[in-house]
Amino acid sequence: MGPMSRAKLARQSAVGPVIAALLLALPHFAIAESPAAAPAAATTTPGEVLVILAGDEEGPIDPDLSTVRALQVKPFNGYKSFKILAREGLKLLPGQAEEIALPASRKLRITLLERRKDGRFKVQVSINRPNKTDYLPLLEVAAKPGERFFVAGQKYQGGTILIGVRVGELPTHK
Amino acid sequence: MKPPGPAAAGAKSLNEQAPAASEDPKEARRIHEDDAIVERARTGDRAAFHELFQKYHRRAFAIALGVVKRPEDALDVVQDAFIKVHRHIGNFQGSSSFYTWLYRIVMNLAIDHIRKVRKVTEWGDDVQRSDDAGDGTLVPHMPDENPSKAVVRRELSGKIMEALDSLPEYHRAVILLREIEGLSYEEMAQVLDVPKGTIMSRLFHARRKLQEQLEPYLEGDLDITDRG
Amino acid sequence: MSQNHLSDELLQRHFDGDLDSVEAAEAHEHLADCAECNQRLEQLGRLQRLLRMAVDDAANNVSWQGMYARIEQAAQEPEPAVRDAPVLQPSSAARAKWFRPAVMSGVGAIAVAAAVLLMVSRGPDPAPTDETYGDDSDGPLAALETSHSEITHVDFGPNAGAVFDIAYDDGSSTPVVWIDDDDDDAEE
Repeated sequence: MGPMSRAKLARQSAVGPVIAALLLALPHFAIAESPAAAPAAATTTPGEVLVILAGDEEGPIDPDLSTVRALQVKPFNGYKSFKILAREGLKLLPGQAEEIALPASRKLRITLLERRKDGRFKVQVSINRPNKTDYLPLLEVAAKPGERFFVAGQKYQGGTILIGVRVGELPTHK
Repeated sequence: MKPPGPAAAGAKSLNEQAPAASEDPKEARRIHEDDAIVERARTGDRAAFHELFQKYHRRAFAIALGVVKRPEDALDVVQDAFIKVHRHIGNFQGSSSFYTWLYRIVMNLAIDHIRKVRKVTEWGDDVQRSDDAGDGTLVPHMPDENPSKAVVRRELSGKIMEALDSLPEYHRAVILLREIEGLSYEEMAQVLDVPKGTIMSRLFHARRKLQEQLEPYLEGDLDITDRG
Repeated sequence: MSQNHLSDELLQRHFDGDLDSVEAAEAHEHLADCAECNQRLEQLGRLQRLLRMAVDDAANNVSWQGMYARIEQAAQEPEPAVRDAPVLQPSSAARAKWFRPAVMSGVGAIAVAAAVLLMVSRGPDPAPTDETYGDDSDGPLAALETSHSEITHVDFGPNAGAVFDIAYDDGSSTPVVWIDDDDDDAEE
């Protein structure tokens, strides 16, 4: 968009509004004289890691990817083939990291930190080889429930890895 | 094989909910007329795009005003929305009505807008700016035949916008969707993704707050609300 | 419905046309004789007229022709591929390594070339504000506020990278973190 004659307020990066209260119950232990009750089960948040190999050469496109909007617009729609390498469902507990194996001995580590008051999930992601911080040491995201964010760029077998991460579920509509 | 286009994507977001299609024959006719105009606009017919702008810019403004606080910001949103429409109408598949599509764009841009940090200025000050050619900001409204009536009306409008401004966003949204857009409780519940009971409660409280703030003006003579 | 007057809820629903036929008939019967409820109804009508007047005036005080001209002008210009993105700092242990378009090709080059190249972290969340949404913040505007996912912090370590948004034609977007992978061991 070119410069507009009408004065517009400068856009600045959004500032996170408030510190969120934890909405997910944490495990707790009852203190009682009688034999202790079993700890309350913590509520898990569903998640998914989708690992896609995108190719520059003509090739098959996995039909299960037809609903992934990000692959249909720029820049990802420039790839000529898409193959699902892994699709892992997760059950995330606050503060507890989950790991997914990736090509080239890397691991994706995802930690749900908290649910923000605005409803988005604060998550941490890193991608490294064991004992190294050589690829993506740290990524923090305010993730809208049910919507993917992507980490991309790893080279593999002549293609590029696109990793779609989703936390929580889309709200259901009447 | 080329990946399917964006219209085939199944992803949904809260703000992709728009007012439910009405069964009102007038509304159905409007949607049908839009289809013809949109089809022309998709081929690059500038007059057709202008028709769409003429039809919907005020409704887009009212929608944006329900989310952002200030008319200037609402105008920013409307402008950006129609720029997007202009750029992407070639990709518009018609899976929803044009108004639904526009509504989603306006809502998303409006929400984006209020997330940004900005300086709050007095709305009244901005109204005084005059419009030079091409500046296109708020222009002083030409006085009615009765100038004193026009002054009273402008002051009153200012008070009303202040009162709206003072509402929390979740009240402002329902009051404008109901009073300006005319959405039913069910339609608002769908759009805002809350139960109908919550909509009714918010509407009640929003009206109550506005009535308290505008009490002197609700008692008086309201013939200035009509442009004679 | 109370013996004496219509409840606030019924009155509002009547005003908004939400009553079923039985309720509507009862309301009409009551309103035929109750000046006070009619007065309350009239207040709702006045408020509605005032709001429509104010929004109308705000819309009238705009040069829509001027706006339309700018829309046409802007629509001819190329759309930016990305929004402004957070700027991110390389970690302290990182080598200073910049994006090198020459080593990337194809979609990767397009993707990163379209993004902001040097970024700085946003830092931690700011202190809480006094802004609250009250008791009923369980849905609408709390949810409306969160229209997008958002990258809040990235440490690229020794790599070059970028953060950008994939924009859709309905105004929503998907954030992407792109990492320039020039690791010789990456290929299995």
